[in-house]
Amino acid sequence: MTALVPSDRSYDPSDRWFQDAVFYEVLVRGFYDANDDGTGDLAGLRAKLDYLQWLGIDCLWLLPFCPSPMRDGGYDVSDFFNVHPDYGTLGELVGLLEDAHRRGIRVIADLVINHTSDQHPWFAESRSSRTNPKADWYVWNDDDQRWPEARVVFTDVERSNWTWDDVRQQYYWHRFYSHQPDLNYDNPEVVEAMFEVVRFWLDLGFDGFRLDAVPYLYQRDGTSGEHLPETHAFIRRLRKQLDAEYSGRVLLAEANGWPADVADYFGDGDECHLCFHFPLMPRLFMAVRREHRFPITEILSQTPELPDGCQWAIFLRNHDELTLEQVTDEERDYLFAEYAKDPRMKRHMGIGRRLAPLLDGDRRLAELLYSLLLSLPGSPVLYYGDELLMGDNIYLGDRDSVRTPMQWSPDRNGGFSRADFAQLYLPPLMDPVYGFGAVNVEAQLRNPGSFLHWIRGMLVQRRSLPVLGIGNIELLDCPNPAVLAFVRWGEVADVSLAAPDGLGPPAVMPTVAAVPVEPADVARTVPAEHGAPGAARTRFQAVLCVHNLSRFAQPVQLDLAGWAGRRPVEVLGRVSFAPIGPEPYSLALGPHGYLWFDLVEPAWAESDPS
Amino acid sequence: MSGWTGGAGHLDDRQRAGIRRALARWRQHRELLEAHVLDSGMPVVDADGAGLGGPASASVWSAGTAPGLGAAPSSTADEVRAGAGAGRPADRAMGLDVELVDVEHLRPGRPGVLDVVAEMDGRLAHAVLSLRRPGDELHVVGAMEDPALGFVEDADGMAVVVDALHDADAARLLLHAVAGAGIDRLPRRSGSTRQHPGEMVSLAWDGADATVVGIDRRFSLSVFPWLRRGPHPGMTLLAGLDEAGFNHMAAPVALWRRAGRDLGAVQEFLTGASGGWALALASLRDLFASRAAPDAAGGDFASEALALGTMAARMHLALDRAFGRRPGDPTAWAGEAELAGRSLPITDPVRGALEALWASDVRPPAIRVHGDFHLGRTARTDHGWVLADTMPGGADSASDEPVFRSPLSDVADFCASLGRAARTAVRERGAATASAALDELAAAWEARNRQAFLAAYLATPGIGGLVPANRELVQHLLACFELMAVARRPMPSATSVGGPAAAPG
Repeated sequence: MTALVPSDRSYDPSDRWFQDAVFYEVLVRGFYDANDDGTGDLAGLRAKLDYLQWLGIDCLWLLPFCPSPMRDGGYDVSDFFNVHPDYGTLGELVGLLEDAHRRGIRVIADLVINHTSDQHPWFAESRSSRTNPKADWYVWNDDDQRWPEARVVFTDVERSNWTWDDVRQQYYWHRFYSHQPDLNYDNPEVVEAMFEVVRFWLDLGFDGFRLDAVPYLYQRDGTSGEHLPETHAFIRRLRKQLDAEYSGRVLLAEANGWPADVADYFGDGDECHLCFHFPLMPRLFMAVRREHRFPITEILSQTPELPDGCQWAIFLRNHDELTLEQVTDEERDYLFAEYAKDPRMKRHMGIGRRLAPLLDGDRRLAELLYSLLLSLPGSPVLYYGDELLMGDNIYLGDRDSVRTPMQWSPDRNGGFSRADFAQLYLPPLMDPVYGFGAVNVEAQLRNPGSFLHWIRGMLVQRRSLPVLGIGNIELLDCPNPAVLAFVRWGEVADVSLAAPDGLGPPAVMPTVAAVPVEPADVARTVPAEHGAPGAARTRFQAVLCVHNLSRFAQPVQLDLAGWAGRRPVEVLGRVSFAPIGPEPYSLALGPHGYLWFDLVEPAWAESDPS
Repeated sequence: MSGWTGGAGHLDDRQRAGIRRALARWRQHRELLEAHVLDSGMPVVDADGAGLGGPASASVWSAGTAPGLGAAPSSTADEVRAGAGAGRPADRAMGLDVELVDVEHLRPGRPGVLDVVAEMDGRLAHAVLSLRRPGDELHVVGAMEDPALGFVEDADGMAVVVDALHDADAARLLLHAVAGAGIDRLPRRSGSTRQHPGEMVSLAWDGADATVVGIDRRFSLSVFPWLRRGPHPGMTLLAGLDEAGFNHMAAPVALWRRAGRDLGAVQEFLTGASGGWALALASLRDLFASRAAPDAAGGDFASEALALGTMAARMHLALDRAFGRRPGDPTAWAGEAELAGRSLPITDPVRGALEALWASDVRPPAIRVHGDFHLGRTARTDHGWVLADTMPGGADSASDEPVFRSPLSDVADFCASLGRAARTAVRERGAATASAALDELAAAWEARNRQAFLAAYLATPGIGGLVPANRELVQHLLACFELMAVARRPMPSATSVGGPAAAPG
């Protein structure tokens, strides 16, 4: 099978597209139902690609779509080589990949690597006897006492990592739900089987994987069973295969840990390309409630340097609970008290809420958090629906509270599906504040002042400032604790952009229905010399970002002496501010205000008529 | 033409005159500065919204261009060349009596650096001067409109004299002269990813106590403009804390001393720091906006107060290790408090506490205390809370002799500071929003954070050796010392309205 290649960028191994990409996490089941059976599907997602392209995202991250009994949102896979029939067919998946690539949108898939469903044929065979060919494909033991140091992840629903199997008369190991037995990576056959899974999806055209629950692959006596050297060896092997056969594809690690520990998953640039920065996210929420920057700056100061060719993936919310694993007990109590006042909002060790309800619907706060997300080091990952400030349903079980149908219009079922309401995989939101009557794509597309247009504009600006993706960060000293200011700086590729994703407002807005867009109209172009090794043109870029974490207007005096001579040009309006001198630079910010400035060279400033 | 080595006695008359003239102008700058700077550690917004206080408000900031040194200040090179005594008329005109005490040539050539100590109006002035070639381009540090102080001539020819702490190149040379050339090889703080593409020298603070220059965000160079006759108590406190292993502060890299006098210090630069006063006010503003109970408000300060309590206890344990302890005299402290608070209304509980202390024969430990420990003396950094400065140094203001008291005197200072913050926050809301409910919230905030601070302080391992086990006696001592603290720095009236936020304390 021939790999499908996006039309606008090469797959040269040096292509580090992921370092300044904006990812968009989408639940196929919840995005759009093209066949009116009540469940979102691949054809539906394909139909909405023009919307995603207009929004300005670079890469789709598909949550699990393989066949599954769906007891854990598809993270309980029962067949690694197919598509869940509710979502469509392999052919429709290929069609989606082709259309996405034509639009310059890459697609990565969730690779559930640590475990399978207990309905998977591998497990059925493994549990059938102690001597069958797959007897050692899972982790079995005669008692449930081994590896007591390994914590139970879902403490609210599981009491042990071992579960008794009546058929085989042994215990099997599972770090998550008991219906998700862990694969035995000490068995070379399992490793080879997973490599085959990887090759299968890459050959279909996927641009990489999010490695689900990657820290837990191995177990060793006397250890927590997390982040073991054997796991890193496995990832290095996987990466080597990618680089050799599928260059340009990426691995994104889901490793929930302290930055210094998680950074191990970058290896020496020879393991994962991206790692989620889990501890940053709760601290963003903490900082805006505490109204001072220290929760953010503390975690940034503890974040190690990236190896060359790597990047953090940062996010505000995702399909899981707002995880509070990487905070202290005191900080967790604080965040529960502030953001989960109703006990039903709590999920596992976190909060099962979407962004907008977490912020009490405060748009200014949402803009502030997105401004931080888009300007701090890392590739931002957006969660479907959060571009509308969609709400949640805390009365739904487990993490379904944040997995309700995408709200496309005020029509029946929010425009998500024309199936009977009772057929829907989950009920859409219908409350007066966040329901689809009030919050939907169609309404926000028609309103240029909507949050959807705002975030789309910010993504456009971010694309014009590649230094926000890969640049260094210099945190600025300022006496006002409510203000977080930093300069992102460094050499960036001199990339030009073509319409309609260039600077300025969009000329054409998509309608809710699918509108085919000619590839020639939408491709982002990269100068030829950029792709040629050794001939890349670069330029220095510096962007000053200032954020007011307080609900009140704040003054700030920034020590910008190191940038003296440059002129700050506000990014959104291209308004020139006074040039920077040796003295502290004074600014005022409105409540929860944010400002991004391009720090331009004096030569540019001199030509500026202002 | 004389060289600069060997102290003031080796200068020729024209050089003396040139330096005197430069010092006179330096004094003018300081007068301007000290008239405008609030002696605090944080910026305050005045009623017009303009910045007041803090480093930016020291004087009118220049337009930001790097000035050249072609233009003469108040005197000209020709005047300097005119001969001996040329400086005298200028000195007299400025009403100054300047007597050079010590001139040290720290760096020859251009830019050269001279360190000058002089008797001036009965005080011991200390100026670091850079000697620049006329026409040199200066990288000015801070906001001096005209950094040139005069002219002087030496073996290298005519030089423009500039305040070295406002001359980036000279400040860097001074750093190396004070701390040694190896300073650049000191490791950066681990985890720092903040290296800047360009060199950076910036004015962090310019006040009556010290001028502080940040260099490359790695070092903080403090220079005292006015010297003590002997060691500076703030420096001895700093050195003692460092030797005792106290790490909640910017680590000293070098202490600058000459002829028994403390001239300044080089410390690690505290990146990303904000003052405790500012954080406390931010918490109070959030509380007033949310109108929730302090423990339910997003900006709850209690976790910070807990950390501050632990830091304070560690500071006292370090001071005990550094300077030892003596038996304290609660009776004397009660007497001091009564004297200090004679113009204040003394409540019955405080009166009862003082009476109990008079009757007490207990001798709780006394250590060298900070002496002025309040929110404004603390700062929050990415690595936790730090003691932002050791001034005034826990010494008697008249004699510079260290004061030994119960460490609870610092604790009481800090508790009073929490109360001062709460009242300041109420006061800044203005008459339109003043209400009993706001006062109640402020009182609840103060009580919660006092409790958190004290709980953490008293729970710190080892502090039991410095603080009486009898909690009633602790309360009495706190009441006594807090009376002193309020007498020293009056508490703003919560209901009095108007004006900017008070200075931190």
